[in-house]
Amino acid sequence: MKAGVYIAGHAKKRSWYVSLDLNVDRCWWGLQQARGTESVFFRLVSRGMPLQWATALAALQLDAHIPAWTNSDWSRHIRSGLAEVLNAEDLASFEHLSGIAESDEAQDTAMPVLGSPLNEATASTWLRELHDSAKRLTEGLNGRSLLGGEVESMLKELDPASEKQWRSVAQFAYLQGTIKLENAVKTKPRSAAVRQGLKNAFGSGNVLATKSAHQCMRCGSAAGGGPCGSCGSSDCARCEACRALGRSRSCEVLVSRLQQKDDAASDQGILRREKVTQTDLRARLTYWNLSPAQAEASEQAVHFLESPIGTSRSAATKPMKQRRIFHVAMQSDAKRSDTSGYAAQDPSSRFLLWAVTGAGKTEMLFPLIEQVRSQGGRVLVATPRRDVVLELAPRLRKAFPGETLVALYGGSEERWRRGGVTLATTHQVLRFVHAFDLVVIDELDAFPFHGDPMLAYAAERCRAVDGRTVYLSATPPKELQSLVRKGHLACAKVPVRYHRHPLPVPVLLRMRSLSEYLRKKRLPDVLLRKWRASLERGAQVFIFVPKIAFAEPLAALLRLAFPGIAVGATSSQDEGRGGKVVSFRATDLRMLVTTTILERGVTVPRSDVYILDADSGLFDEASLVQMAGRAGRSADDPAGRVVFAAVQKTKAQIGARRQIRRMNRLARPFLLPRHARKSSESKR
Amino acid sequence: MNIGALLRTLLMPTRESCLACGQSAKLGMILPLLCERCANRIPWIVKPRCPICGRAQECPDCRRPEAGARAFSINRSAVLYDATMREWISAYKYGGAERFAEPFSIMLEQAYLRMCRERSAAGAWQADLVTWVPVSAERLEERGFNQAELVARRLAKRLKLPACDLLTRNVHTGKQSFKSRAERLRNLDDAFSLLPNLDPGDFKQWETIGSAKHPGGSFPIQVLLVDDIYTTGTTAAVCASVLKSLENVIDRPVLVYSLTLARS
Repeated sequence: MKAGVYIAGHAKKRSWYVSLDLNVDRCWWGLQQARGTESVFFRLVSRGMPLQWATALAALQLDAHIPAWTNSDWSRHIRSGLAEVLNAEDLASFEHLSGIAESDEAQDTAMPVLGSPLNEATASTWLRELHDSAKRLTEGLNGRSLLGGEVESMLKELDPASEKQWRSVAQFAYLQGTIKLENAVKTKPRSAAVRQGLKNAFGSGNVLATKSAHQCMRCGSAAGGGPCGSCGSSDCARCEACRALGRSRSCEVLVSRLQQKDDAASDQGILRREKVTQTDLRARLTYWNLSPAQAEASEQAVHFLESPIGTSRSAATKPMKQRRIFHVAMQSDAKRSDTSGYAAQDPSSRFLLWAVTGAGKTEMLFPLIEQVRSQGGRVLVATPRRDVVLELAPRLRKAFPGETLVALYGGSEERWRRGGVTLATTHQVLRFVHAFDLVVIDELDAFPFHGDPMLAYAAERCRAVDGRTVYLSATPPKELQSLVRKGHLACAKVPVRYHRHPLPVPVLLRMRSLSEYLRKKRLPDVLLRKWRASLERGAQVFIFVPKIAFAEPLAALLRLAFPGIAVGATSSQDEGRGGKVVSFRATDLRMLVTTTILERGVTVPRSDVYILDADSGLFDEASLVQMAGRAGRSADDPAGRVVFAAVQKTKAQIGARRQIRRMNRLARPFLLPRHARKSSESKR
Repeated sequence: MNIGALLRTLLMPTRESCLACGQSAKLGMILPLLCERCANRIPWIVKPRCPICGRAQECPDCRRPEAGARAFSINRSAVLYDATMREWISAYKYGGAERFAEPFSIMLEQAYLRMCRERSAAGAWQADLVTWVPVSAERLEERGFNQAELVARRLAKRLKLPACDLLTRNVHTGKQSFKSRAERLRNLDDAFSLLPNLDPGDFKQWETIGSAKHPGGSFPIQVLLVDDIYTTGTTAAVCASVLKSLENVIDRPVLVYSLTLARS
């Protein structure tokens, strides 16, 4: 898009202005001139240039004295001022793209209201109309950062009458100083980009924007420049990474709220952090009906929320040590991940809730949400998948009937609604900036959050200035584990499932490779025996294989081996996956062959888990733990079986088993009495 | 490429995420930026059944009496407009996935080469220049690019043919996809015209093309008109008739061949 640029102000204070609609500026300054006592200075520089040039120009220092330059003087001045932005630009097209206004024209035709008598009545009626819409826009923008197109669709909902003139409304709010207009993709001077690239190469800083000189302001990714039909520039960059949420490009406007000092406290809901007395807190936790382990972890997390940033580390870690819950000793040899990069920079505002599979993570969040909401703060729960949003929304609504809960996902109807609790898929978080006092990241280590720097960036950006982040995970990445071990990151562990039975410990089984069995069309007897036993005890049989290509052939062999038993196979490529999971849960299918796609989030009451080719490189420790976590989820059948069948023992298998055993050991104080005794015996 | 970078590329095959399915896989085995699985889903039109519009099925449209008067000679499309292509083309046009231009232009090239083979039965055939269906200024501002121009320019570069900007869209007619057949037909009259300030240099270039082909004689200029989707053929027909008006300017017959990505 193109934007106008001008210099305006009163005698002492003149500044650059960018304009999405010069008519608004005309009326605004014209009315000031007509009504005020001071004379208004106005010099139109361009009636329309690529937005990215306009915003760069408006960021330049303005001399106190504005010379009476001619057209070409301005052109030269702008070219030198914008040298960095115009780096890759075709300078031949600069003249006609910059839209520099003739100096006499600038005064007379562009600003008739200043020279000739202004039609005050018309102008002020229009501005009054815009004033109301602008107020609604500003409110709507609270905590958000939106592209022009999104502003348009938000106004359509908030204020249908002003949808058509969203540019005018936005321009009015900009003149009032309540919103900020930026271009969505920033161009960085090349030297700075190279410096940053070097810095990244040496492992410090985040890995964003290494190659290109353009960076998306919404998602932080690097973007490539090219010719654009919208602004005419030949170096207009568009962001490929966040295109699913609307087109972010150099000449697209990114609108956000400009925070005023006095309304920050009242509007943004900054936590007042009142101390909750221990008895109060206990009473509240009782209300949520948590198991002892859940309650203990929740209590620590609530204490973390109320302690001021900076001291929380000592405050949170000390009691944990006393309670013997703080205990980690994991090998750490993995690469740095982006999330932990942020965590390492600013660990005191973060908390890791490390809860085993089936621990009841959602329930543990309730006291946290209650705590933040009771003090007027806003809460975001970000989860990786849309299904989880849809499943969680009714549960949260039921838990907090008095709250407005907004569920955001691709295609959600509630896009522009606001509420105290926001439940969103990770990508939706990109639309928020400084909006939440508590950010909960569910399944931190799962795709797409883990390993996507864009989402980590978004999770940081959406947090209020002194907000807190709580990570939820059953298998936190190594880097976070190491931060915990060093005492940099506060952490509470929930080593026991809600039903207070220990986790099933995997049995390691030696077998030949799956591809060999499939080739010979014969399955090993030992597995067949185990499967038969599982089926006979009425369990659902979950079989994980490393490759999609193995799923169907294995299912076919199983159908031969167990005639009369319904066997299904599914993978990420299967359109009917949802249906198969449902019929597996309903025991219409008794055996389900699948890939890691079902490693999380699937709860099948009575199930046994078999992982074939468990030595495959595609199964790491985390995914083995997650898959093993599918067994024994329900209180009726807490002791499901887990088998890792493989040619050889791998670090991942042993690590997973060790992690499960360690959790069971930590769980001992919380287990139902009979298990507590049994597990201590088995240890001996 | 320096030695370090070369070694890196040899040792670590680049696993980038596929433009269509987003999954990390080895790309570019069949088409650039696409994984093998997605590329195999492309519904190529290998054998057009309708000799006029290149449709893969029987074509009642081209048997209508008014179809004979259409200003373009033939149309060929690279692929069927099925669910996959619908998804890709809309990601390309509306979803900002402009990198689709690369695989799309190669798909168009395939269709063009097939068209050449077909036409070459009566002597070597080849187009003289490439042009495209324009979009309105308003749409260009919104979208930031002309989807047809982007692929057409790449195609022209690959075929080493001149790419000429010849047409302009006068009125903003709204999206074709929201209209019925009759509306589409009515809607497009007068929608296109020649660009007001065409470069006379271009015409001279064509003159040389024409005279090189057939010294002294009158040989038609063969224009390849590129668009994304062919549905009723109206857009192609209207554009072609405007292009035909160039005959008055260059005093040489003009034949228009429509080349589209998908045939719906």
